[in-house]
Amino acid sequence: MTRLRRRLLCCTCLALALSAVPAGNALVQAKETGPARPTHVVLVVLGGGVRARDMLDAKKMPKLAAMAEAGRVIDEIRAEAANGYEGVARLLTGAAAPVAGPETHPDRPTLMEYVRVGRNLPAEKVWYVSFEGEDQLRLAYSTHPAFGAGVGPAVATGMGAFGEPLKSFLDRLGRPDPQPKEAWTLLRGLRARSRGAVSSYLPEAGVPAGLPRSERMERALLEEINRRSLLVRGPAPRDERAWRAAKTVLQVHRPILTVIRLGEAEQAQKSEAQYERVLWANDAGLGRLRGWIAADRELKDRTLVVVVSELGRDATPNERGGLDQADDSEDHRELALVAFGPGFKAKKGRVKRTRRIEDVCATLGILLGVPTPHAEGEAWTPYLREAD
Amino acid sequence: MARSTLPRLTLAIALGALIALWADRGAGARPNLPPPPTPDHDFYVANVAPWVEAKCVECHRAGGGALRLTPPRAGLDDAARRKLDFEQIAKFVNPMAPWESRLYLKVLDPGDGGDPHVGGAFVRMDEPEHDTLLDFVSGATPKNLPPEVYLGEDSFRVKPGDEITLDGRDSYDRDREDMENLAFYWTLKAQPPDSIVALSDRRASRLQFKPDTGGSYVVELRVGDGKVWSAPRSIAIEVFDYRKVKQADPGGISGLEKVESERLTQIRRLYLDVLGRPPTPPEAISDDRIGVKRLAETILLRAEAGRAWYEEVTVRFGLIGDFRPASDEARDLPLRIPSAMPSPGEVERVLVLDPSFLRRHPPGRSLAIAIGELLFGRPPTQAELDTALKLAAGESVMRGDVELTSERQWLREITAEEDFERAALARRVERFLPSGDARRAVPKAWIALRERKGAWRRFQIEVLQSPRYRKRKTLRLKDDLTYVRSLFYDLLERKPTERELAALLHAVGQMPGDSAPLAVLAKVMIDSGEVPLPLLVRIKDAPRWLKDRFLRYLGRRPTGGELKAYGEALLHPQGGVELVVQALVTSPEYACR
Repeated sequence: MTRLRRRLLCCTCLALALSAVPAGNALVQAKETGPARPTHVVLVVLGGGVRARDMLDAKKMPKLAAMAEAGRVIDEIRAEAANGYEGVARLLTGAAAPVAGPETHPDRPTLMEYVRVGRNLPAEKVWYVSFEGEDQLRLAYSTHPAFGAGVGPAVATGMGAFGEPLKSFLDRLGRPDPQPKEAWTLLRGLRARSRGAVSSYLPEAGVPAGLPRSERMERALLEEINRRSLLVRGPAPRDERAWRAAKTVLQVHRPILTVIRLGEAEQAQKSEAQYERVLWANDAGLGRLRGWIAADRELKDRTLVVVVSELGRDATPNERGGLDQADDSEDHRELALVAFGPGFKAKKGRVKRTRRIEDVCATLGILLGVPTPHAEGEAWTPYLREAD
Repeated sequence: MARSTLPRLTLAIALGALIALWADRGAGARPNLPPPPTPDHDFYVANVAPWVEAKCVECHRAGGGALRLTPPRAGLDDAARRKLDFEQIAKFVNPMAPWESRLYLKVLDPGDGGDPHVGGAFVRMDEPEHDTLLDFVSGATPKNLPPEVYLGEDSFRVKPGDEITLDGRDSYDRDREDMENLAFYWTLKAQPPDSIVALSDRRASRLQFKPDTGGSYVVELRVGDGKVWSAPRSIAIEVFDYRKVKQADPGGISGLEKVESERLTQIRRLYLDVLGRPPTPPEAISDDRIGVKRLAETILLRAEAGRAWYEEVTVRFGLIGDFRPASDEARDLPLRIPSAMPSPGEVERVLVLDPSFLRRHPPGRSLAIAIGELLFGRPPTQAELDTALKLAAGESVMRGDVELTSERQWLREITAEEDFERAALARRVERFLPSGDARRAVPKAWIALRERKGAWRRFQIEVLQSPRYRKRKTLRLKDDLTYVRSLFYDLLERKPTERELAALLHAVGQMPGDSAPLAVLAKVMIDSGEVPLPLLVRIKDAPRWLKDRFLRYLGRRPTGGELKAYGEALLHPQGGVELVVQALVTSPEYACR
């Protein structure tokens, strides 16, 4: 190889390397520790329309700001959706064009379906938790013939992971009394005796000897029902119920992918002040989420939390003091994403490059190691750490 | 020539008459009554359309849900649009069982037994819209409202030799006060295989007949108002030798201590395996007196056994709640099982070919997964996935010599094959035997199925009477359905309704792979105040009470150590009666059968 050709090759490599680095990404990177890929992902959709500047405002969402500080912020994400439903559908399916309407399931596979198929996971390892009743669950899975209901996620609504199907039963029989700590101890002792009796039989193949019962799960479910989740008050009661259901799901199943869809920010339509109260409540939820993950040995340090909105809101209030979604301003059309946990390159400052909301599906697909063949968005590989 | 023809003709007529008589006599005979009326367009336009247009169209014209109403378009006037709406809506009506129509159940308030429905638009049973809707699904016209059968209970039990009287006189005509014009028609829809009893006066308002052998009989009634005949309603009669046992005080000592331990275990096993629930204490005491061997002979013939097997398969296929089977064949299945003793393959085939199966497992990958996992107990093969995807894309697929053009045809082909029949058979045998024994028994069961009628029933009885079954030391996990039913019988002392089962199984299914949700259900029931439990101060003999609870819930007496530990828990300030019961019904042993 001649010197000239070697030089040309070097220049080409350098140019290619530089082109791969997005604008603004040449800043100093913080030290990256922990695994390069998350084992669990929690995607929180701050649905109902939240402006990027509100998400990143430490006065409005201090806990999210702290997560952003410790993690990664990607802003100037373009959202072209006509409404919130389409925004979430684009986010979850990676579709760049409008998807089937809100009265039916999307026609493209969702990230949850990709993960179940790609990783061959049972339903309880992929969850979709929504702030409202079952009508919101249309976004959980698609009508795509190669995916669909059979590989959809397990779903929980704002009525609770366990509570909604039980609602009529609980309405009639009432809710159980809280179980004091000492009663749990007594129960554990009595059950252990029964376990001894069971193991004196020859256990059937496939039945674990002693039949361990998950007390952790039992307590979480009882707590969910005892919390009287239907009677939640506050600025964002439906979102609060979703947070509680998500807590049960995370504690019980530790899913590989959990999508938590909130939606109370839609109250902004009526009042900007109310909107800010909802943001404050959701911020508290994010803080709790961070705490649950940190307290769980399996999830801690291995879980990526991604927080993103599906559509923004107008730059200025309407005559009623509310915030519409109509002015096509940057506040309306540009979103921010906060990633906290392994997977993204740690870097101070923000990435200044326009991205699209539909890129999220492909990006999380890479982080979770699954192909997303029908997603049209472009994965943000330059921002991701190299897989180990 | 004429002389030789006449005897032949006479013989033919006589034979024809005999055949007609025989056909009218047997189980499942269908008289020549017209079918029940179907929904009427004019009635819809006058009475139902305004309600539909006020409550349903916003979602359903926009493509929401399974009911797709035509969106507005140029050139479509009101009359034409209503006709199209009617045609769509009529698909959601089941004339053979209007009260089970999806249209009706979808808008009925869940508190009154309706199905979950996104968007609401519920009607309560005491609202006038409810009656209009029920009239519509029952086939009302502007000039006539159809009659309705009323039989009271849907099942009861008598002893062999008892005469049965069924009373249809509470049936009514929707648009008449007097009942004089009502006509009645009774049919013996199912009877035990060796029964030859026939109904004597089919057109009486009260029917009397005497069963000639033990087993389950199903009698169906239709009523006519001179213009139309109603949809049928049926009643199951179980004819068994049973002993009446005095019911113990609720919450008191049940009397099970008199039953020998091993026999109690065997009775419980038969109930849990065949009926999918534990026996109540009076049933266990009565069956102990009759004998376990006799119980094994007769339990399969009970109407409840058919219902239990049917529910087991529908739950496994996910055909509950909004996906409940809709075909006439599927609806008759629980009744056919104890009388005609169909093979497991036949039972499952009826449900796989029901339209609800394809609704529950839509074309494409979901269907391939259902075929692999539910029908063959394995992941779907690549060929199955390819077939499902091609059929979903509208392409035809060659499967052997057969060109498949639809999913339904594919399901028909699969369920007609020997592999399917064998897989269904293995599942059924495994209900009774540990998997190793079941594997060994399947070839024999296969031969029994291929033998003359009755061999399959004899095979099952042989299994239930075999020492290997009776003395089985292997515990097996209860499936969710059996566990939920057990909680109802043991705690609330009643059977769950279909709606309760669907809702609770849905809830339990939300948390797959663990019995903790079932433990939570138990706690909900215990804390509801509906479980008859004595106050602690009323328990005079605590060890005896504890022994009785062990016998009720676990079918055995407690060990000395258990008695001590449970006794301490009973008296503990944070323990008590409720906690003892909770510990027993949420114990690993209770989770087994």
